[in-house]
Amino acid sequence: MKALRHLKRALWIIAFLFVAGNMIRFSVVPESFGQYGDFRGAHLAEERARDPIHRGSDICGECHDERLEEKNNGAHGPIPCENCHFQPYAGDENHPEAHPEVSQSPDRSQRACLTCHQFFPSRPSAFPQLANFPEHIATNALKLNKDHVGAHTLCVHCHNPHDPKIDLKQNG
Amino acid sequence: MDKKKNRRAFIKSAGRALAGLLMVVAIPKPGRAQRIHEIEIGEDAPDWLDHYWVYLIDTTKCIGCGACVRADKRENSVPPKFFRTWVERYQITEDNHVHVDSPNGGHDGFLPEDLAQLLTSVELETDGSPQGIGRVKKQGRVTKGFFVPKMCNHCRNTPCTQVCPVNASYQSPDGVVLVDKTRCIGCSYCVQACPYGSRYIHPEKHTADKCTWCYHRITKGLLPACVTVCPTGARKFGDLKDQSSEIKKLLSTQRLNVLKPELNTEPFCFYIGLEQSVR
Repeated sequence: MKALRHLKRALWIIAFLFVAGNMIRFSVVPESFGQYGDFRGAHLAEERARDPIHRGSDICGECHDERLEEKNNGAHGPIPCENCHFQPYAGDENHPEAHPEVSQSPDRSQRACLTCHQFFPSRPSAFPQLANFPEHIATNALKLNKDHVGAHTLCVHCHNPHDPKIDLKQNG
Repeated sequence: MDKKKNRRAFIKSAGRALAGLLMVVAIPKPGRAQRIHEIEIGEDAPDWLDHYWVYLIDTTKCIGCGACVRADKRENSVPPKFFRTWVERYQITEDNHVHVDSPNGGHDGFLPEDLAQLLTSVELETDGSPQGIGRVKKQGRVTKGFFVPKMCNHCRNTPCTQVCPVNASYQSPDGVVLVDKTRCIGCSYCVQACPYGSRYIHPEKHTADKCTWCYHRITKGLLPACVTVCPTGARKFGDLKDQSSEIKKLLSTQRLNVLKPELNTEPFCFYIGLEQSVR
């Protein structure tokens, strides 16, 4: 009987360790760990839950359908509205339902246009680029009889950003 | 006396051994037993996991406008000076010198300084082309140039998830490498392990952060933000399981390459027209 008492004690210790070990395990290991693999499965849903910020041009077209059509038919068709009309943290009370970062007024500076259209040897040669921006303004702006020739000439004075192509013969 | 001591010592060591054994044997491997739980899925399709995503970058189309970098910053609130995606400009000069730069990750485009000054100056009198374009300082005329957008390659044999000590970094069943920020301890092993430099430690959250292929967008049927804003279609994204997709067609017809293939990381971000000098 004495020997059995020792065995009992050992069994109690084993049982205690088993229970305690499992309690620690369940409190430390997240519930969904291993659902899809060796990671916390619920994180996929958490990562997924965020709202997209870039909503695409179609949302803009719900109100500005003419502008959207104009853009889609022009050379800037593949560019979504957000590329230019998206100034971070500008805020805009005209678009209460849009994301707060959406701004109605885009960057109209020359820099905004030249970010894509300034000539670089690294740019694909087929892409329309300006090798000499000051010369372009000096020659072409004069042809169009614009008053804006000079330091404050903006690209958008002649080119409609939604449909940038200009027929010089017709205008000149 | 001695006998008692021996017994006590024996029980002590036996107990320790038992406890150790229990830790190994009795505690089932976490995970396998708990596959029954299902995640709460959002508003749309129940098959949102049934994809295998792949990314394709056509370097011959990239114009280096940086729209992708800006969009990524907005979409994912990437902190300043850190990048989930960035654009590198390669300029190779006459004497075969490879000049690589990426000012602010390409976020503001690649306008040279003298042109930027020109645009802000009051008088636009100069009729010459800005001097900085087409030349690299000290190395001379550029004979070959291109832009290479870079980002997380979402490797199949990924070094970054292998080194994570807490399983915070993992590959999802649909092929996206993600970081569980609630588990990440910010040890930055993964930042060092990534051969593409696409991870960073978030300066405020102090956890690893990286490109997720906009997981919150692609699982809702949208494209990643960088793909939607790309004006020339240099960035493509799609599902390998979708046999009729554009990306499937491109992958099967174009000449592809990956970054650092010698590392056997099996990137799932493929490149068209990648030059050998690109690292």
